[in-house]
Amino acid sequence: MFFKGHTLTDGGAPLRSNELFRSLKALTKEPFLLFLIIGIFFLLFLFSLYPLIKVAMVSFERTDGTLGLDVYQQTLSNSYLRQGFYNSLLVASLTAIFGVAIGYLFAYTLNRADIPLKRFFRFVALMPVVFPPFIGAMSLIMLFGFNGMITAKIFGIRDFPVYGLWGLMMAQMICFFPVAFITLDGVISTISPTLEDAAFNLGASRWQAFRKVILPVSIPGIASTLLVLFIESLADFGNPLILAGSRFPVLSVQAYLEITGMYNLRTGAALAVWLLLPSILAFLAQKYWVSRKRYITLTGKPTTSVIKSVNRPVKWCLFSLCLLISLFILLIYATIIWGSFTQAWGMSNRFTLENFKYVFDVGWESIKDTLVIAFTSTPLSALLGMTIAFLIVRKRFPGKGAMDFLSLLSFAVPGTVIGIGYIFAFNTPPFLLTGTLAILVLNFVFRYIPVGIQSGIALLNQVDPAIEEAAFTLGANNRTVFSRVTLPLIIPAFFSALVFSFVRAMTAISAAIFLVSAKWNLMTVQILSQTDSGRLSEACAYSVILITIILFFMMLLKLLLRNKISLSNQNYGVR
Amino acid sequence: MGLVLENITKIFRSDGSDMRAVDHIALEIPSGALVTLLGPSGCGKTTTLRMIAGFELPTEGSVRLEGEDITFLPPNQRNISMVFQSYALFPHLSVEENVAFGLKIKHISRDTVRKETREMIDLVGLRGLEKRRPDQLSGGQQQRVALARSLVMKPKVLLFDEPLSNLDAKLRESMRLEIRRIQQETAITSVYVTHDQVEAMSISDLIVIMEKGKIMQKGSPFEVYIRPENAFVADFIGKVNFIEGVADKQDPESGIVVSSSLKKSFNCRNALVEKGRPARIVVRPEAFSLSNARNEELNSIAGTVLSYSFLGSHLEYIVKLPDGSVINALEYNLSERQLPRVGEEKRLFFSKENAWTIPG
Repeated sequence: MFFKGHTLTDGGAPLRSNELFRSLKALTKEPFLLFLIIGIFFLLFLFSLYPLIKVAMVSFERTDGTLGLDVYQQTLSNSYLRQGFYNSLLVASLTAIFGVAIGYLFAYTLNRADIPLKRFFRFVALMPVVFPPFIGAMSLIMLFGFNGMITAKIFGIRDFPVYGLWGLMMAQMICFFPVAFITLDGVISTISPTLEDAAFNLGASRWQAFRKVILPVSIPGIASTLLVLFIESLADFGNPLILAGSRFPVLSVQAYLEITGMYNLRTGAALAVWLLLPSILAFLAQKYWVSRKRYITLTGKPTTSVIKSVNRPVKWCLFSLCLLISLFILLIYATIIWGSFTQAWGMSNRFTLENFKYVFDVGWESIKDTLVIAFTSTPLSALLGMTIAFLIVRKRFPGKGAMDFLSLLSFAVPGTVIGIGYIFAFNTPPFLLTGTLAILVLNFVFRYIPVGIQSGIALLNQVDPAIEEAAFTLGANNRTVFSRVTLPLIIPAFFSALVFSFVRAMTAISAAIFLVSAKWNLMTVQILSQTDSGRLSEACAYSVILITIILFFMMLLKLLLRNKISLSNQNYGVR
Repeated sequence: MGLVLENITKIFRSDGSDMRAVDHIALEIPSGALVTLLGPSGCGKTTTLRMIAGFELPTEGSVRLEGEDITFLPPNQRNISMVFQSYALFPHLSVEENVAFGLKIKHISRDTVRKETREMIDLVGLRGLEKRRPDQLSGGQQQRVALARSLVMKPKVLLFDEPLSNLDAKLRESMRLEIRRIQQETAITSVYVTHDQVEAMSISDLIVIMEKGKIMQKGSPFEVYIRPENAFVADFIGKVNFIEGVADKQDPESGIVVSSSLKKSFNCRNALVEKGRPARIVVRPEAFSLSNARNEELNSIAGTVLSYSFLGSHLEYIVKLPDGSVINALEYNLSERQLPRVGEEKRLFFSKENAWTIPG
């Protein structure tokens, strides 16, 4: 009686091992698929999981070879390191809250208010995506630092608190609010205006309709975005390195300094684990809890309702806020460009082209290296992402959940942690990769596959699986189906993955800073070191060149693929 | 035997709850026949089809094709083609390229591919549309392409997954006939899934009626209509009236069922129900007549007309019996040229040939 639910379930349980055997037997009839699955598992394990295990191992291992958790006690009892943990969480929480607030403001205003300059706002909100993540920090120092254009030159203030909590938060918000905007734009634009019509019809005021309908419906999207921003902010390395200073320690920078500055591997590893824990928790919450709570409000029927969500005063209020923020963002980027043409920012603002000459003389190698690395890792990452998306959405095999988890894991792991993991994992044979091109490329490939996977999954979920099934029944094997049917149908996702991982590879810093060598160096690392040594104008010139390269290749890709993309934009095969 | 399903079962597992979609189905499909899997949605018919195609792996049991066990073979190695409800044409390929897709994979010479593709496009009547893309075709044309694409492979088995349900009613009827014509011309063993009983009746050699993952009955369209084996089949195929009672005599030609509520015994054909067991007499609405004949072979019941609809060729009555049950009856050849009145007494007759008995 007590076990009723378990013992009488249709005799299902005893079958399970038999079922596993049967599905494995079916897999052996498709050797290529089996090989692919095993191969991907091996790669994911080696390049995503093993480095993390290695970080934990190093932190456990005492100098005498025994294992223990004492280093965690040490880090906890050290008030400076404890402060770093606390600061990291504080900044991450605040950045998440304010970033989401601004993202929501933009998303709501652009979708629900009839305002001018919508295209301009959208452009500004998406701009930070293609910029190196720490440019905000550089610019803030140039504007509000000791020799800041605004604080020192205009107001004569020398000690404006740009270093520390508020400066760091500001820089991160500029850098990460686009992430919030993109997600929330997706959420709000799919809330049918008829929902508000219904609320008005039932006697609700505009405020009530927002408060009782729109906001609750967007809550899951907000929660998910909060967690994503929290993770991004925790992982951020460039901004805190420039802005936090020693007065405001954060974990990612502390871990870096312990390892590269003091060669204190164990402490660095322990800090990396402290940094990893909250990230993983937030990731798990996002993946397994929040993301399941989406509301689907978009119906198949096109809605022609006129948007009337806000009245005139509110509309102009929202408009002004968006305008203010947009202008500030523009100012941030304009400062970088301006800075690149000045002799020595803050001291002499005379126009010059010397900085660019300097970059091409001294930094030519790093420009070349950055391009080589980006061009090698980008297509690999996109293709691997599409392959994994195909396997996860379309195939059934034992361990699928594990593959899904492993391949998205690297999103949750802060770059600092994975960077430390790579130097621990790949500095001894048989995986002696330190100092090589391969270690950078591999790192980028596996760090940026989640985006490819997710856009691949999103698009595949809209393609009728019967189309691929039809190809199978016509005799095509997995390889043929993938290359002749699936890939042509999800080509937009492939290219968006391509663009994204290119931008990320070009602007990556947090993991890469551990992996660069005299032989293979990156522009971002150069920018940071120039900034660090106070050569802001040179850093700006580097940044301008970097951004120019990114924009150039994005345009080029767009031009080259215009026909292809417009073909796939017909959305054929999409249910 | 062409295709044999040996006790196949499919259990879908999700978060601790198991769903038994197909429950020990055993079925033999003769070569060259068109067999329909018919049933309400969720009865397991599509899952069964997908196990034949190789898209689902049976939890238990096996699938055999011409004696060979194909249970574990991937779909592309089975030589079984499928026509999908959503057509599933390759949107990035033209009509011609869609039809040639499977042949090209086989690495057959270009000329052969071209020749066979053209023949097939002719067979399904799409000449002149070779260069079109799927989104430039009507639904009916798209389904013809899908059919041609499958047929050109000369598969051992052709599967149809509700191929007509996205078409409008008129087109559905003509496509139905065409599928049957082409299937008979090519003599390809076919399994056809539908929830539309009229479609199943008109197209099949054999109908397999499914419910909750089990086979309720298999037989020719004639058999399942005239001699249903249980209430589900009787009710699912066409309209039906049940008269409840207890079997008094088991005899395929002249059985007897006694209804205590109607205080009457009825002559019927009772092949299935033993004497003393609860029984149901199955009478189709068109089997009733509302005449005054006095015939030993005829059963009669009196009732009151609850309502009726005049449908041109016939009248459809709803008649209430003394025990409160309701009978649906049709009257053709309206000799009186006069409509009945609601509340009027009517006597309904049916012959014992039209009274089939199933377990109650």
